[in-house]
Amino acid sequence: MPNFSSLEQQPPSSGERATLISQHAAVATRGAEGVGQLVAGMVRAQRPPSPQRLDELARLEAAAVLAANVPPVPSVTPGLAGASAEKRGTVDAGHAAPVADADQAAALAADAREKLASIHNAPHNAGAPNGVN
Amino acid sequence: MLKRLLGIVMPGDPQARRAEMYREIIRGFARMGGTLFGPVPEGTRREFFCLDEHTWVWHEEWTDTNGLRHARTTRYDIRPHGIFKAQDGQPYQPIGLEEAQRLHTAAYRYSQQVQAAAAQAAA
Repeated sequence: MPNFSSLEQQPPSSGERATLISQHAAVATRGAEGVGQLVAGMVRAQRPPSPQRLDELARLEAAAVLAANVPPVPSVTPGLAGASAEKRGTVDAGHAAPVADADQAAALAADAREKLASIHNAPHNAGAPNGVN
Repeated sequence: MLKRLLGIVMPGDPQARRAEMYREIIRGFARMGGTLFGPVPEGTRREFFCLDEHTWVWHEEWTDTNGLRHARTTRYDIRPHGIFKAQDGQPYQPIGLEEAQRLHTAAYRYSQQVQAAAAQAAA
């Protein structure tokens, strides 16, 4: 019959214990870093955008507005663009209101900037819940 | 299955012994984690520990003024899109910035303590 008691009496190895503590330290460190990254993301999401960022967003939005209003350009390279591009070239002009005027584009950008500013200054987004910004 | 059976029959099995040692290490660090926010009140048992890379656990037991014993376990899951907590079998819910910052402080201090203990054990 095997002698199990001799196995049970094996003293815990201090080297093994040190290895396990080190292993747990590595797990805890990665875990704490993971929490830190998410918290940093949450802080960034709560921070109101800078004026430069607002301008950038306004430009992007204005460009999107312009792109939505410019009628599709008929394909000049049917071999590359294929039938779908040619079809897009036949869109009813009544649905497209091209914005060719620079003043109009500037006005659209200003409008977009104003809308964005009002969104970002809304009370629900004014700052951190504890009032510390 | 055979390994599990052998683990019961032979507590001296190196793998089972190693797993038990790891659990015992975590229990020790959990008690340490409970003291990270100041002294634990008399009659209160507080534990905080890292279960794995994506899970932190807070456990507290206390006695109220009527002598009733209470226990609460809070589990924080760190997911790619946010931190979620579940308390005593309730469904998971996302936590706010303030709680996330407190969790981060606790997790950071915990990891510092465990690293110090690892350096000490290796010396």
